[in-house]
Amino acid sequence: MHNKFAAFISVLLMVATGTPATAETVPTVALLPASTSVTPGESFTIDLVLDVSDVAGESDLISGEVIVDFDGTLAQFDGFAVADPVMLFSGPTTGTAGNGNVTVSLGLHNAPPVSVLGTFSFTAAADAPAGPIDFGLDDAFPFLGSFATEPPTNQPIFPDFSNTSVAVVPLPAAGWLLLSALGLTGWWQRRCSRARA
Amino acid sequence: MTIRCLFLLAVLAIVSTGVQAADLALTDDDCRALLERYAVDPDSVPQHLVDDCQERLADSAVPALAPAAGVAAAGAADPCAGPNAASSVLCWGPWSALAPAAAGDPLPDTPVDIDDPDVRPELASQFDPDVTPLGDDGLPLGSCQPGTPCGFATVVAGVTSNAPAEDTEFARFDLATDGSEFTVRPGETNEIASVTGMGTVITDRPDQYDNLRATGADGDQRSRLIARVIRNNGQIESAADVWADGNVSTGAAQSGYFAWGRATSQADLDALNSSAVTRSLNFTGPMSVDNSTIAAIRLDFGPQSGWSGNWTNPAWSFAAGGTISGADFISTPDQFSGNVQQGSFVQGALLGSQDRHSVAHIIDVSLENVGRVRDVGLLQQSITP
Repeated sequence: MHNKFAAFISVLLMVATGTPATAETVPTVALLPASTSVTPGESFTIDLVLDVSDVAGESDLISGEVIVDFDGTLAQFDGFAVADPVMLFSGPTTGTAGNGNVTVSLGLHNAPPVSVLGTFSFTAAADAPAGPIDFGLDDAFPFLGSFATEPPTNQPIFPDFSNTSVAVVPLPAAGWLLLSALGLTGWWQRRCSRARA
Repeated sequence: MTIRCLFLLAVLAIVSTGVQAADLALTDDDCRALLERYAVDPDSVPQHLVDDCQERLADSAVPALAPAAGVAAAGAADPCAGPNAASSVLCWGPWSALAPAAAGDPLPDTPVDIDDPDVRPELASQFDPDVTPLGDDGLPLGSCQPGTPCGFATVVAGVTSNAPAEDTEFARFDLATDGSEFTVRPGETNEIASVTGMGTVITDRPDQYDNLRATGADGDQRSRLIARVIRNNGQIESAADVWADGNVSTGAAQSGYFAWGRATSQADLDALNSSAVTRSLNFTGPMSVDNSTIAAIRLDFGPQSGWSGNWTNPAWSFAAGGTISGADFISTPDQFSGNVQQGSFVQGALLGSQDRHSVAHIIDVSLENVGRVRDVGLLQQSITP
Protein backbone atom coordinates (compact mmCIF):
# COMPACT_ATOMS: atom_id res chain seq x y z
CA MET A 1 0.00 0.00 0.00
CA HIS A 2 2.85 2.32 0.98
CA ASN A 3 4.67 1.49 -2.26
CA LYS A 4 1.57 2.20 -4.33
CA PHE A 5 1.14 5.55 -2.64
CA ALA A 6 4.82 6.39 -3.22
CA ALA A 7 4.51 5.43 -6.88
CA PHE A 8 1.39 7.58 -7.20
CA ILE A 9 3.20 10.56 -5.67
CA SER A 10 6.18 9.96 -7.98
CA VAL A 11 3.94 9.98 -11.02
CA LEU A 12 2.25 13.18 -9.82
CA LEU A 13 5.63 14.82 -9.29
CA MET A 14 6.83 13.72 -12.73
CA VAL A 15 3.71 15.14 -14.32
CA ALA A 16 4.02 18.38 -12.35
CA THR A 17 7.69 18.85 -13.17
CA GLY A 18 7.37 17.75 -16.76
CA THR A 19 9.74 14.82 -16.30
CA PRO A 20 8.99 12.23 -18.95
CA ALA A 21 7.73 9.00 -17.46
CA THR A 22 10.18 7.09 -19.65
CA ALA A 23 13.25 8.99 -18.43
CA GLU A 24 16.33 6.82 -17.98
CA THR A 25 17.14 5.94 -14.42
CA VAL A 26 20.49 6.90 -12.99
CA PRO A 27 22.47 3.88 -11.81
CA THR A 28 22.08 3.87 -8.07
CA VAL A 29 22.93 1.99 -4.94
CA ALA A 30 20.59 3.07 -2.16
CA LEU A 31 19.64 2.40 1.44
CA LEU A 32 15.92 1.79 1.91
CA PRO A 33 14.71 1.58 5.53
CA ALA A 34 11.79 -0.75 6.27
CA SER A 35 10.35 1.99 8.49
CA THR A 36 11.18 5.67 8.61
CA SER A 37 10.81 5.89 12.39
CA VAL A 38 11.79 3.80 15.40
CA THR A 39 11.48 4.10 19.14
CA PRO A 40 14.57 4.03 21.37
CA GLY A 41 15.80 0.49 21.88
CA GLU A 42 13.82 -0.83 18.89
CA SER A 43 15.40 -2.99 16.18
CA PHE A 44 15.03 -2.00 12.56
CA THR A 45 16.28 -3.01 9.13
CA ILE A 46 17.58 -1.17 6.06
CA ASP A 47 17.72 -2.78 2.62
CA LEU A 48 20.72 -2.22 0.34
CA VAL A 49 19.18 -1.79 -3.11
CA LEU A 50 20.91 -1.80 -6.52
CA ASP A 51 19.53 -0.45 -9.80
CA VAL A 52 21.99 -0.24 -12.68
CA SER A 53 19.55 -1.37 -15.34
CA ASP A 54 20.46 1.49 -17.67
CA VAL A 55 24.13 0.52 -17.86
CA ALA A 56 23.90 -3.25 -17.66
CA GLY A 57 22.02 -5.90 -19.54
CA GLU A 58 19.32 -7.97 -17.85
CA SER A 59 21.56 -11.01 -17.67
CA ASP A 60 24.63 -9.15 -16.44
CA LEU A 61 25.88 -9.71 -12.93
CA ILE A 62 27.25 -6.86 -10.86
CA SER A 63 29.95 -6.69 -8.22
CA GLY A 64 31.12 -3.92 -5.96
CA GLU A 65 32.02 -2.84 -2.46
CA VAL A 66 30.06 -0.42 -0.26
CA ILE A 67 30.65 1.29 3.05
CA VAL A 68 27.88 2.44 5.40
CA ASP A 69 28.51 4.86 8.23
CA PHE A 70 26.36 6.05 11.13
CA ASP A 71 26.61 7.55 14.62
CA GLY A 72 27.41 4.65 16.93
CA THR A 73 25.91 6.44 19.92
CA LEU A 74 22.50 6.38 18.22
CA ALA A 75 22.39 2.87 16.81
CA GLN A 76 24.15 -0.46 16.89
CA PHE A 77 24.94 -2.67 13.87
CA ASP A 78 23.50 -6.16 14.39
CA GLY A 79 24.32 -7.87 11.08
CA PHE A 80 23.88 -8.08 7.33
CA ALA A 81 21.84 -10.76 5.58
CA VAL A 82 22.77 -11.17 1.92
CA ALA A 83 19.89 -11.71 -0.51
CA ASP A 84 19.89 -14.65 -2.92
CA PRO A 85 21.55 -14.91 -5.47
CA VAL A 86 23.94 -12.19 -4.34
CA MET A 87 27.13 -13.38 -2.64
CA LEU A 88 29.49 -11.66 -0.25
CA PHE A 89 33.17 -11.61 -1.15
CA SER A 90 34.24 -9.46 1.78
CA GLY A 91 32.85 -8.26 5.09
CA PRO A 92 30.75 -7.15 6.70
CA THR A 93 33.59 -5.47 8.53
CA THR A 94 33.02 -2.77 11.12
CA GLY A 95 35.43 0.10 11.66
CA THR A 96 35.60 3.74 12.59
CA ALA A 97 35.42 6.66 10.16
CA GLY A 98 37.49 9.82 10.46
CA ASN A 99 34.53 11.63 12.03
CA GLY A 100 34.11 8.95 14.68
CA ASN A 101 31.14 7.30 13.00
CA VAL A 102 30.87 3.54 12.92
CA THR A 103 31.48 2.04 9.45
CA VAL A 104 30.32 -1.23 8.00
CA SER A 105 32.00 -2.26 4.74
CA LEU A 106 31.24 -5.24 2.56
CA GLY A 107 31.82 -6.54 -0.95
CA LEU A 108 29.16 -8.21 -3.05
CA HIS A 109 29.08 -10.01 -6.37
CA ASN A 110 26.74 -12.11 -8.50
CA ALA A 111 24.08 -9.39 -8.17
CA PRO A 112 21.37 -8.90 -10.82
CA PRO A 113 21.28 -5.33 -12.16
CA VAL A 114 18.05 -4.55 -10.30
CA SER A 115 18.07 -6.26 -6.96
CA VAL A 116 18.01 -6.05 -3.21
CA LEU A 117 21.60 -6.88 -2.34
CA GLY A 118 20.88 -7.60 1.30
CA THR A 119 19.50 -6.23 4.54
CA PHE A 120 21.28 -4.43 7.36
CA SER A 121 19.95 -4.94 10.91
CA PHE A 122 20.36 -2.24 13.53
CA THR A 123 19.06 -1.42 17.00
CA ALA A 124 18.39 2.14 18.04
CA ALA A 125 20.15 3.09 21.28
CA ALA A 126 17.87 2.96 24.33
CA ASP A 127 18.83 6.52 25.20
CA ALA A 128 18.72 7.81 21.64
CA PRO A 129 17.20 11.31 21.64
CA ALA A 130 14.40 12.27 19.30
CA GLY A 131 15.80 13.04 15.86
CA PRO A 132 17.28 11.36 12.83
CA ILE A 133 19.87 8.61 12.74
CA ASP A 134 21.71 9.32 9.48
CA PHE A 135 23.12 6.44 7.47
CA GLY A 136 25.72 7.36 4.84
CA LEU A 137 26.44 5.09 1.88
CA ASP A 138 29.41 5.25 -0.48
CA ASP A 139 31.64 3.16 -2.68
CA ALA A 140 34.19 1.47 -0.44
CA PHE A 141 36.88 2.46 -2.98
CA PRO A 142 35.46 5.85 -3.90
CA PHE A 143 38.03 7.53 -6.16
CA LEU A 144 38.53 4.77 -8.72
CA GLY A 145 35.24 2.99 -7.97
CA SER A 146 34.70 -0.67 -7.24
CA PHE A 147 31.51 -1.49 -9.13
CA ALA A 148 31.66 -3.48 -12.35
CA THR A 149 29.68 -5.77 -14.53
CA GLU A 150 31.11 -9.30 -14.55
CA PRO A 151 30.31 -11.69 -17.44
CA PRO A 152 31.09 -11.67 -20.24
CA THR A 153 33.86 -9.23 -19.32
CA ASN A 154 34.43 -6.86 -16.42
CA GLN A 155 33.44 -3.29 -17.22
CA PRO A 156 33.46 -0.51 -14.63
CA ILE A 157 30.22 1.24 -13.67
CA PHE A 158 29.87 4.30 -11.50
CA PRO A 159 26.51 4.37 -9.70
CA ASP A 160 25.25 7.18 -7.49
CA PHE A 161 25.03 6.34 -3.80
CA SER A 162 22.08 7.64 -1.79
CA ASN A 163 21.99 7.98 1.98
CA THR A 164 19.02 7.59 4.26
CA SER A 165 17.93 8.36 7.79
CA VAL A 166 15.61 6.84 10.34
CA ALA A 167 13.84 9.08 12.83
CA VAL A 168 13.94 8.22 16.51
CA VAL A 169 10.53 8.98 18.00
CA PRO A 170 10.46 8.50 21.80
CA LEU A 171 7.15 7.31 23.27
CA PRO A 172 5.43 10.55 24.36
CA ALA A 173 4.62 11.29 28.02
CA ALA A 174 0.94 10.83 27.23
CA GLY A 175 1.76 7.35 26.04
CA TRP A 176 3.46 6.51 29.31
CA LEU A 177 0.47 7.98 31.23
CA LEU A 178 -1.94 5.88 29.18
CA LEU A 179 0.06 2.73 29.77
CA SER A 180 0.26 3.33 33.51
CA ALA A 181 -3.48 4.10 33.61
CA LEU A 182 -4.24 0.86 31.79
CA GLY A 183 -2.00 -1.02 34.19
CA LEU A 184 -3.66 0.61 37.20
CA THR A 185 -7.13 -0.22 35.85
CA GLY A 186 -6.13 -3.85 35.34
CA TRP A 187 -4.71 -4.06 38.83
CA TRP A 188 -7.89 -2.47 40.31
CA GLN A 189 -10.23 -4.83 38.46
CA ARG A 190 -8.20 -7.83 39.57
CA ARG A 191 -8.30 -6.61 43.16
CA CYS A 192 -12.08 -6.11 42.97
CA SER A 193 -12.71 -9.57 41.49
CA ARG A 194 -10.56 -11.13 44.23
CA ALA A 195 -12.51 -9.22 46.85
CA ARG A 196 -15.82 -10.47 45.37
CA ALA A 197 -14.51 -14.03 45.40
CA MET B 1 -1.81 58.73 -18.69
CA THR B 2 -3.83 55.86 -17.28
CA ILE B 3 -6.46 56.29 -19.96
CA ARG B 4 -3.73 56.33 -22.60
CA CYS B 5 -2.28 53.13 -21.28
CA LEU B 6 -5.70 51.52 -21.17
CA PHE B 7 -6.28 52.59 -24.74
CA LEU B 8 -2.97 51.11 -25.85
CA LEU B 9 -3.72 47.89 -24.02
CA ALA B 10 -7.10 47.71 -25.70
CA VAL B 11 -5.54 48.26 -29.11
CA LEU B 12 -2.96 45.55 -28.44
CA ALA B 13 -5.62 43.16 -27.18
CA ILE B 14 -7.69 43.67 -30.31
CA VAL B 15 -4.64 43.16 -32.48
CA SER B 16 -3.71 40.02 -30.60
CA THR B 17 -7.16 38.57 -31.16
CA GLY B 18 -6.64 38.75 -34.87
CA VAL B 19 -8.29 42.03 -35.76
CA GLN B 20 -6.29 43.80 -38.45
CA ALA B 21 -5.02 47.29 -37.77
CA ALA B 22 -6.59 48.39 -40.97
CA ASP B 23 -9.98 47.62 -39.43
CA LEU B 24 -9.42 50.21 -36.71
CA ALA B 25 -10.49 53.74 -37.09
CA LEU B 26 -7.37 55.43 -35.82
CA THR B 27 -7.44 59.14 -35.40
CA ASP B 28 -4.42 61.39 -35.77
CA ASP B 29 -4.31 61.76 -32.00
CA ASP B 30 -4.32 58.00 -31.61
CA CYS B 31 -1.46 57.76 -34.04
CA ARG B 32 0.55 60.39 -32.25
CA ALA B 33 0.02 58.56 -28.98
CA LEU B 34 1.11 55.32 -30.60
CA LEU B 35 4.18 56.89 -32.14
CA GLU B 36 5.16 58.55 -28.88
CA ARG B 37 4.85 55.19 -27.23
CA TYR B 38 6.87 53.64 -30.04
CA ALA B 39 9.59 56.22 -29.68
CA VAL B 40 10.00 55.37 -26.01
CA ASP B 41 9.70 51.59 -26.38
CA PRO B 42 9.81 50.27 -29.98
CA ASP B 43 8.76 46.78 -28.85
CA SER B 44 5.53 47.99 -27.31
CA VAL B 45 3.70 48.72 -30.57
CA PRO B 46 3.31 46.41 -33.59
CA GLN B 47 5.33 47.59 -36.56
CA HIS B 48 2.38 47.60 -38.95
CA LEU B 49 0.50 50.03 -36.67
CA VAL B 50 3.53 52.28 -36.63
CA ASP B 51 3.79 52.12 -40.41
CA ASP B 52 0.12 52.90 -40.80
CA CYS B 53 0.33 55.81 -38.43
CA GLN B 54 3.49 57.20 -39.98
CA GLU B 55 1.82 57.04 -43.37
CA ARG B 56 -1.31 58.64 -42.00
CA LEU B 57 0.54 61.45 -40.25
CA ALA B 58 2.77 62.01 -43.30
CA ASP B 59 -0.34 62.44 -45.35
CA SER B 60 -1.49 64.95 -42.77
CA ALA B 61 1.85 66.77 -43.12
CA VAL B 62 2.84 65.74 -39.60
CA PRO B 63 6.43 64.53 -39.44
CA ALA B 64 6.86 61.01 -38.10
CA LEU B 65 8.93 60.41 -35.06
CA ALA B 66 12.26 58.75 -35.52
CA PRO B 67 11.82 55.30 -34.02
CA ALA B 68 13.65 54.88 -30.75
CA ALA B 69 15.41 58.21 -31.11
CA GLY B 70 13.27 59.20 -28.22
CA VAL B 71 13.69 62.93 -28.37
CA ALA B 72 12.35 64.02 -31.71
CA ALA B 73 9.49 66.30 -31.07
CA ALA B 74 6.30 66.04 -33.00
CA GLY B 75 6.10 68.83 -35.55
CA ALA B 76 9.89 69.18 -35.95
CA ALA B 77 11.64 68.49 -39.26
CA ASP B 78 12.90 64.94 -39.80
CA PRO B 79 16.52 65.04 -38.54
CA CYS B 80 17.38 61.93 -40.50
CA ALA B 81 16.42 63.27 -43.86
CA GLY B 82 19.31 65.69 -44.39
CA PRO B 83 22.87 65.15 -45.62
CA ASN B 84 24.25 65.11 -42.03
CA ALA B 85 21.92 62.37 -40.86
CA ALA B 86 24.82 59.94 -40.41
CA SER B 87 26.36 62.15 -37.74
CA SER B 88 23.11 62.98 -36.01
CA VAL B 89 22.63 61.49 -32.59
CA LEU B 90 18.92 61.39 -33.39
CA CYS B 91 19.39 58.92 -36.22
CA TRP B 92 20.45 55.28 -36.44
CA GLY B 93 21.86 55.22 -39.91
CA PRO B 94 23.05 54.97 -42.43
CA TRP B 95 23.26 51.18 -42.04
CA SER B 96 24.56 50.64 -45.54
CA ALA B 97 27.98 51.85 -44.45
CA LEU B 98 28.66 49.92 -41.28
CA ALA B 99 32.06 50.34 -39.75
CA PRO B 100 34.20 47.17 -39.75
CA ALA B 101 33.62 44.95 -36.72
CA ALA B 102 36.09 45.31 -33.90
CA ALA B 103 37.00 41.64 -34.30
CA GLY B 104 38.85 42.37 -37.49
CA ASP B 105 38.40 41.11 -41.02
CA PRO B 106 35.71 38.50 -41.59
CA LEU B 107 36.80 34.88 -41.88
CA PRO B 108 37.08 33.46 -45.37
CA ASP B 109 34.34 31.10 -46.48
CA THR B 110 36.78 28.21 -46.52
CA PRO B 111 38.81 28.09 -43.31
CA VAL B 112 42.50 28.06 -43.93
CA ASP B 113 44.42 25.25 -42.26
CA ILE B 114 47.01 26.34 -39.80
CA ASP B 115 50.04 24.35 -40.80
CA ASP B 116 52.47 25.12 -38.08
CA PRO B 117 51.84 23.02 -34.95
CA ASP B 118 54.86 24.53 -33.25
CA VAL B 119 53.23 27.92 -33.29
CA ARG B 120 49.89 26.50 -32.11
CA PRO B 121 50.85 23.65 -29.75
CA GLU B 122 47.23 23.30 -28.62
CA LEU B 123 46.46 22.12 -32.15
CA ALA B 124 49.30 19.61 -32.24
CA SER B 125 46.92 16.68 -31.85
CA GLN B 126 45.31 17.63 -35.16
CA PHE B 127 48.64 17.00 -36.81
CA ASP B 128 49.18 13.67 -35.13
CA PRO B 129 49.27 11.20 -38.02
CA ASP B 130 47.46 8.78 -35.63
CA VAL B 131 49.47 5.87 -36.90
CA THR B 132 51.32 3.86 -34.32
CA PRO B 133 54.95 3.72 -35.41
CA LEU B 134 56.50 0.32 -35.93
CA GLY B 135 59.12 -0.90 -33.51
CA ASP B 136 62.51 -2.16 -34.64
CA ASP B 137 61.01 -5.62 -34.98
CA GLY B 138 58.15 -4.42 -37.19
CA LEU B 139 55.66 -4.72 -34.33
CA PRO B 140 53.91 -1.51 -33.18
CA LEU B 141 54.02 -2.55 -29.52
CA GLY B 142 57.22 -4.58 -29.66
CA SER B 143 57.80 -8.30 -29.47
CA CYS B 144 56.69 -10.76 -26.79
CA GLN B 145 59.69 -12.98 -26.16
CA PRO B 146 58.77 -16.66 -25.83
CA GLY B 147 58.29 -17.75 -22.23
CA THR B 148 58.12 -14.21 -20.82
CA PRO B 149 55.16 -12.22 -19.44
CA CYS B 150 53.38 -10.35 -22.20
CA GLY B 151 50.41 -8.02 -22.17
CA PHE B 152 48.71 -5.20 -24.01
CA ALA B 153 46.53 -2.42 -22.65
CA THR B 154 44.46 0.54 -23.66
CA VAL B 155 45.21 3.78 -21.82
CA VAL B 156 42.76 6.66 -21.37
CA ALA B 157 42.68 9.71 -19.12
CA GLY B 158 40.37 9.47 -16.11
CA VAL B 159 38.97 6.59 -14.13
CA THR B 160 36.30 5.25 -16.45
CA SER B 161 38.56 3.11 -18.68
CA ASN B 162 36.50 4.31 -21.65
CA ALA B 163 37.13 7.08 -24.17
CA PRO B 164 36.68 7.60 -27.89
CA ALA B 165 39.17 5.62 -29.98
CA GLU B 166 40.95 8.84 -30.94
CA ASP B 167 41.70 9.47 -27.25
CA THR B 168 42.77 5.89 -26.55
CA GLU B 169 46.41 4.83 -26.62
CA PHE B 170 47.96 1.38 -26.58
CA ALA B 171 50.70 0.25 -24.25
CA ARG B 172 52.44 -2.85 -23.03
CA PHE B 173 51.16 -4.23 -19.72
CA ASP B 174 52.62 -6.41 -17.02
CA LEU B 175 50.99 -8.07 -14.02
CA ALA B 176 52.32 -9.85 -10.95
CA THR B 177 51.23 -13.49 -10.98
CA ASP B 178 49.52 -12.99 -7.60
CA GLY B 179 47.63 -9.94 -8.94
CA SER B 180 49.06 -7.64 -6.28
CA GLU B 181 50.59 -5.11 -8.70
CA PHE B 182 50.65 -4.11 -12.34
CA THR B 183 52.66 -1.89 -14.64
CA VAL B 184 51.57 -0.04 -17.75
CA ARG B 185 54.34 0.84 -20.25
CA PRO B 186 56.91 -1.09 -18.17
CA GLY B 187 60.41 0.29 -18.52
CA GLU B 188 59.31 3.38 -20.43
CA THR B 189 59.75 6.93 -19.20
CA ASN B 190 56.00 7.35 -18.76
CA GLU B 191 55.56 4.04 -16.95
CA ILE B 192 52.48 3.72 -14.72
CA ALA B 193 53.34 1.54 -11.74
CA SER B 194 50.48 0.54 -9.48
CA VAL B 195 50.53 0.52 -5.72
CA THR B 196 52.49 -2.54 -4.65
CA GLY B 197 50.94 -5.19 -2.44
CA MET B 198 47.35 -4.51 -3.43
CA GLY B 199 44.79 -6.55 -1.52
CA THR B 200 43.31 -9.25 -3.74
CA VAL B 201 40.06 -11.19 -3.69
CA ILE B 202 39.23 -14.05 -6.05
CA THR B 203 35.58 -14.92 -6.71
CA ASP B 204 33.86 -17.52 -8.87
CA ARG B 205 32.31 -16.74 -12.22
CA PRO B 206 29.80 -18.72 -14.25
CA ASP B 207 32.34 -19.16 -17.10
CA GLN B 208 35.82 -20.74 -17.23
CA TYR B 209 37.39 -17.74 -15.49
CA ASP B 210 37.73 -16.60 -11.91
CA ASN B 211 37.33 -12.96 -11.04
CA LEU B 212 40.19 -11.02 -9.47
CA ARG B 213 39.62 -7.80 -7.53
CA ALA B 214 42.72 -5.97 -6.41
CA THR B 215 42.72 -2.59 -4.72
CA GLY B 216 45.48 -0.68 -3.04
CA ALA B 217 46.33 2.71 -1.58
CA ASP B 218 49.70 4.28 -0.89
CA GLY B 219 49.38 7.82 0.42
CA ASP B 220 47.24 9.58 -2.15
CA GLN B 221 47.86 6.98 -4.86
CA ARG B 222 45.09 4.47 -5.59
CA SER B 223 45.24 1.43 -7.88
CA ARG B 224 42.56 -1.04 -8.90
CA LEU B 225 42.20 -4.16 -11.03
CA ILE B 226 38.98 -5.99 -11.83
CA ALA B 227 39.95 -8.91 -14.03
CA ARG B 228 38.98 -12.26 -15.42
CA VAL B 229 41.81 -14.63 -14.60
CA ILE B 230 42.87 -18.19 -15.39
CA ARG B 231 44.93 -19.61 -12.56
CA ASN B 232 47.17 -22.61 -12.12
CA ASN B 233 48.41 -23.62 -8.67
CA GLY B 234 47.26 -20.28 -7.31
CA GLN B 235 49.27 -18.30 -9.84
CA ILE B 236 47.60 -16.20 -12.52
CA GLU B 237 48.37 -17.59 -15.98
CA SER B 238 46.33 -15.11 -17.97
CA ALA B 239 44.13 -12.13 -17.13
CA ALA B 240 42.05 -9.48 -18.83
CA ASP B 241 39.83 -6.46 -18.33
CA VAL B 242 39.98 -3.35 -16.16
CA TRP B 243 42.88 -1.43 -14.67
CA ALA B 244 42.98 2.05 -13.08
CA ASP B 245 45.53 4.15 -11.25
CA GLY B 246 45.36 7.69 -9.94
CA ASN B 247 46.04 10.26 -7.29
CA VAL B 248 43.10 11.03 -5.05
CA SER B 249 44.59 14.38 -4.05
CA THR B 250 45.20 15.78 -7.52
CA GLY B 251 42.37 13.88 -9.16
CA ALA B 252 44.69 12.84 -11.99
CA ALA B 253 44.03 9.28 -13.08
CA GLN B 254 44.55 6.92 -15.99
CA SER B 255 42.74 3.72 -16.71
CA GLY B 256 41.94 1.23 -19.42
CA TYR B 257 41.57 -2.40 -20.31
CA PHE B 258 44.23 -5.06 -20.69
CA ALA B 259 44.98 -8.62 -21.78
CA TRP B 260 47.94 -10.36 -20.23
CA GLY B 261 49.61 -13.76 -19.97
CA ARG B 262 52.90 -15.52 -20.47
CA ALA B 263 54.04 -15.93 -24.06
CA THR B 264 54.30 -19.52 -25.18
CA SER B 265 57.78 -20.95 -24.58
CA GLN B 266 60.23 -21.53 -27.40
CA ALA B 267 60.04 -25.28 -26.77
CA ASP B 268 56.26 -25.25 -27.22
CA LEU B 269 56.56 -23.07 -30.32
CA ASP B 270 59.13 -25.48 -31.76
CA ALA B 271 56.78 -28.37 -31.07
CA LEU B 272 53.96 -26.56 -32.87
CA ASN B 273 56.15 -25.79 -35.87
CA SER B 274 57.95 -29.12 -36.12
CA SER B 275 55.02 -31.03 -37.55
CA ALA B 276 55.07 -31.92 -41.25
CA VAL B 277 51.43 -30.85 -41.48
CA THR B 278 49.99 -27.47 -40.60
CA ARG B 279 48.75 -27.32 -37.02
CA SER B 280 45.87 -24.87 -36.38
CA LEU B 281 44.83 -23.36 -33.06
CA ASN B 282 41.48 -21.58 -32.84
CA PHE B 283 40.64 -18.87 -30.35
CA THR B 284 37.47 -16.94 -29.65
CA GLY B 285 36.01 -14.58 -27.10
CA PRO B 286 34.72 -11.07 -26.41
CA MET B 287 36.91 -8.01 -26.64
CA SER B 288 37.34 -6.01 -23.43
CA VAL B 289 36.62 -2.38 -24.39
CA ASP B 290 33.45 -3.29 -26.25
CA ASN B 291 32.41 -6.76 -25.20
CA SER B 292 29.73 -6.90 -27.85
CA THR B 293 32.61 -7.43 -30.30
CA ILE B 294 33.39 -11.13 -30.65
CA ALA B 295 36.77 -12.09 -32.03
CA ALA B 296 37.73 -15.37 -33.68
CA ILE B 297 41.36 -16.01 -34.60
CA ARG B 298 43.07 -19.03 -36.14
CA LEU B 299 46.82 -19.46 -35.86
CA ASP B 300 48.47 -21.91 -38.26
CA PHE B 301 51.85 -23.40 -37.36
CA GLY B 302 54.06 -25.62 -39.45
CA PRO B 303 54.75 -25.58 -43.16
CA GLN B 304 52.07 -22.98 -43.98
CA SER B 305 52.45 -20.63 -41.05
CA GLY B 306 50.13 -17.64 -40.80
CA TRP B 307 47.01 -16.45 -39.13
CA SER B 308 43.54 -15.12 -39.95
CA GLY B 309 40.73 -13.69 -37.90
CA ASN B 310 37.50 -11.79 -37.88
CA TRP B 311 35.85 -9.39 -35.47
CA THR B 312 32.08 -9.10 -35.38
CA ASN B 313 30.20 -6.31 -33.67
CA PRO B 314 26.45 -5.61 -33.99
CA ALA B 315 27.40 -2.45 -35.93
CA TRP B 316 30.37 -3.61 -38.00
CA SER B 317 32.77 -6.42 -38.79
CA PHE B 318 36.12 -6.88 -40.46
CA ALA B 319 38.63 -9.60 -41.21
CA ALA B 320 42.40 -9.66 -41.06
CA GLY B 321 45.32 -11.98 -41.50
CA GLY B 322 49.06 -11.93 -41.46
CA THR B 323 52.26 -13.53 -40.32
CA ILE B 324 53.47 -15.33 -37.20
CA SER B 325 56.97 -14.88 -35.86
CA GLY B 326 57.84 -16.69 -32.64
CA ALA B 327 54.95 -16.04 -30.25
CA ASP B 328 54.02 -12.81 -32.07
CA PHE B 329 51.55 -12.30 -34.86
CA ILE B 330 50.94 -9.15 -36.88
CA SER B 331 48.58 -8.20 -39.67
CA THR B 332 49.63 -7.54 -43.25
CA PRO B 333 47.78 -4.78 -45.12
CA ASP B 334 46.83 -6.99 -48.08
CA GLN B 335 44.95 -9.45 -45.88
CA PHE B 336 42.48 -6.98 -44.40
CA SER B 337 38.89 -7.07 -45.59
CA GLY B 338 37.90 -4.34 -48.03
CA ASN B 339 36.34 -2.07 -45.39
CA VAL B 340 39.61 -1.64 -43.48
CA GLN B 341 41.46 1.56 -44.31
CA GLN B 342 45.17 2.31 -44.41
CA GLY B 343 47.11 2.61 -41.18
CA SER B 344 45.23 -0.21 -39.48
CA PHE B 345 46.87 -3.13 -37.73
CA VAL B 346 46.25 -6.13 -35.49
CA GLN B 347 48.99 -7.36 -33.19
CA GLY B 348 48.94 -10.25 -30.76
CA ALA B 349 50.81 -13.03 -29.08
CA LEU B 350 50.25 -16.69 -28.36
CA LEU B 351 50.16 -17.31 -24.62
CA GLY B 352 50.29 -20.35 -22.38
CA SER B 353 51.47 -23.87 -22.74
CA GLN B 354 50.48 -26.70 -25.01
CA ASP B 355 47.46 -27.85 -23.06
CA ARG B 356 46.07 -24.38 -22.38
CA HIS B 357 46.79 -21.71 -24.96
CA SER B 358 45.25 -18.27 -25.18
CA VAL B 359 45.81 -15.15 -27.24
CA ALA B 360 46.29 -11.55 -26.14
CA HIS B 361 45.86 -9.03 -28.92
CA ILE B 362 44.96 -5.48 -29.87
CA ILE B 363 43.06 -4.14 -32.85
CA ASP B 364 43.62 -0.62 -34.20
CA VAL B 365 41.57 -0.30 -37.34
CA SER B 366 39.84 2.43 -39.32
CA LEU B 367 36.68 1.03 -40.84
CA GLU B 368 34.82 2.49 -43.76
CA ASN B 369 31.63 4.31 -42.63
CA VAL B 370 32.42 3.42 -39.02
CA GLY B 371 35.61 5.17 -38.02
CA ARG B 372 38.40 4.22 -35.69
CA VAL B 373 38.12 1.13 -33.47
CA ARG B 374 40.68 0.37 -30.78
CA ASP B 375 40.25 -2.61 -28.52
CA VAL B 376 42.15 -5.26 -26.61
CA GLY B 377 41.15 -8.85 -26.06
CA LEU B 378 42.11 -12.08 -24.36
CA LEU B 379 40.80 -15.08 -26.28
CA GLN B 380 40.72 -18.62 -25.01
CA GLN B 381 41.44 -21.62 -27.18
CA SER B 382 38.33 -23.21 -28.59
CA ILE B 383 38.59 -26.94 -29.04
CA THR B 384 37.20 -27.92 -32.43
CA PRO B 385 36.09 -31.54 -32.95
